[in-house]
Formats: sequence, structure tokens, C-alpha cells
Amino acid sequence: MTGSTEKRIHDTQVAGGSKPRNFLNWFKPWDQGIGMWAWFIQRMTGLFLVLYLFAHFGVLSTLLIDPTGELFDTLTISMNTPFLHGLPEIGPFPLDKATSFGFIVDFVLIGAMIYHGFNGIRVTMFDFYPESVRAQKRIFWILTILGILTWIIAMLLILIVPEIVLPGG
Amino acid sequence: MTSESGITRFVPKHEARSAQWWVLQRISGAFTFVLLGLHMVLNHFLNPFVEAQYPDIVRDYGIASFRVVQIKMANPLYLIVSFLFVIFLLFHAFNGVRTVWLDIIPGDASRRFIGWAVVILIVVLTLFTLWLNFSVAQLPG
Repeated sequence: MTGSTEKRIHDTQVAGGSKPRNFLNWFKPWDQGIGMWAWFIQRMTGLFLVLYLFAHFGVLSTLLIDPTGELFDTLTISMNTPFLHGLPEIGPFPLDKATSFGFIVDFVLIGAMIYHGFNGIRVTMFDFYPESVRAQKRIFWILTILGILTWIIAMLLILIVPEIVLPGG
Repeated sequence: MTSESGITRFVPKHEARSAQWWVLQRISGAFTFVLLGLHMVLNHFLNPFVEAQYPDIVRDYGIASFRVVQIKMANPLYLIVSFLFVIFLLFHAFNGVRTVWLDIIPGDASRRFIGWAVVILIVVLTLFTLWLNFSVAQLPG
């Protein structure tokens, strides 16, 4: 027994992504329902994370270029140096630290990772328990709320923990 | 598909052999989810490998400093976890790229090409990460 929800999902996935001439349809997920948005963001975060992987390996390569570690530490320190000073400290969270290149990259990166991972759980759930497709929208919003909470907690923890000790600090 | 199901447009692009990649994408995704979480916690928040043995180095230089990275990479347990992580992550990443590629450029020749490209990329980048880990671990601290 195949319900209309399954049909809609399969139609959406096929219309969205399986033919080269439908390539542009990836970039117009509106008016096709929340499942198409979820798929679109999944694909974009996935490609972004692959690009980040190469950037990550690039930064780690400095460990090989300069075996003294000075180049690596210089990079890490410059990425973690705040460009605003004198912001208030709310409890244990120094807001200055949030204004560094590294924090902004971490913010985008961890957001993309959490979305991709949580939506991956959602998609895998549909594969193993096809019945759960009927609740796909509710599952999407529950995981979205859980994901945003995880994201906030991760970013607050990064503010507390000293990743690199800045010179003079 | 039959008219009974009502799904008329859901037609596989290739032969059923592609199913193995689909299953492996789920399995590698699950492992990546767990190991990436561990990777983030170990490298950002706490590192029992280093903190237990060298608490003053972590305090004086920070958890992302070269010295701490080097101590981590010299730990065999860290190496094993990293190796598993790299294998699952690279497979998941490049099999995902393969899926996107085949959505844009379908066909048997395209599938063979991207299949081999994925295998070569995974092998080369895995060897790179192992070489990196061993090289850094062997440097004089």
C-alpha cells in the first residue's frame, strides 16, 4: 500500500534531481514542500563540507611545510585573534572571542555539520522505517529544534575552552 | 513502476548494482556522525590523551597548538580512531560527490569514470593523512 505522501516524496526527489535538464530545479526548492528544502540544504551543506575538507587538509599541511610548528601556530593564532575588543563578558562567555575569523568559520561549519548529520538521520530513518515518512514534516521540525540547541551549546563551549593561548594572554 | 503504486516517474537511472553504494552511504554516514562528534570534542573541548599526561602544556599553549597536536598524533589510540574516521568520512564525502555528479551527468561511461575517481581520491587522501600523522608524530618535540 503506497500512500500519497510517498508518491509526493518520490515525485519531488525525481523532479528535483535525477535528470540533467532538471539541474536548475535544485535551486528553486520553494513551492515544493519542506522535503524539497530539506533535500536542497542537505546537498548544499554536503558540497560545502567537502570543500571545507580540502581547506582543512590545506591548513594541516603547514605541519609538514614547517616542522618547527611556528607556521601552524601563527595561522591558528591569527585565525583566533578577535577583531573587536572591549565587548562585555556575559558569565563565562567572553564575547570578544566570538569576533574572530576562526569563530565565524566554526559557526558556519558546525551549523552545516549539524544540519547534514541530523537530516541524514531523518533520511536513514525513512529507509529503515518507511512508515515514518508519513511524519516527515514533524520529524524535520523536531530535529531542527534539537539541531539549533546543539549548535548553540557547541558555540558556547568553544567560547569557554582556550583553543590557542594568544601571545601575551 | 506499476499503476497500482501510482509512482510512474520513479525509474532507476542505472542497473540495480548502484544499490550497494546507497547502503554504504548510510553505513558510512552513521559512522561519520559518531566519529565526527568525537573528533570535534577531542580537538575543541577536551583531550584526555594530552590533558592527563601534560596538563601544563595544554594550559600554556592551548588545545589547538602545535605541541598539543603533536602529542595527540603520537598516541596510537588517537591514530587508530583518526584512521577509521578518515576512511568513513572520505568514503561518505566522495560517494556523496559521486551522487551529485551522476545527477548532472548520467550514463554508464560517466558512472565508471566517477567510480574510479572516487576510489583514487579516497586512497590518495587516506595515505596523505597517514603520512601527515606519522611525520608530525616523529618530529622532535
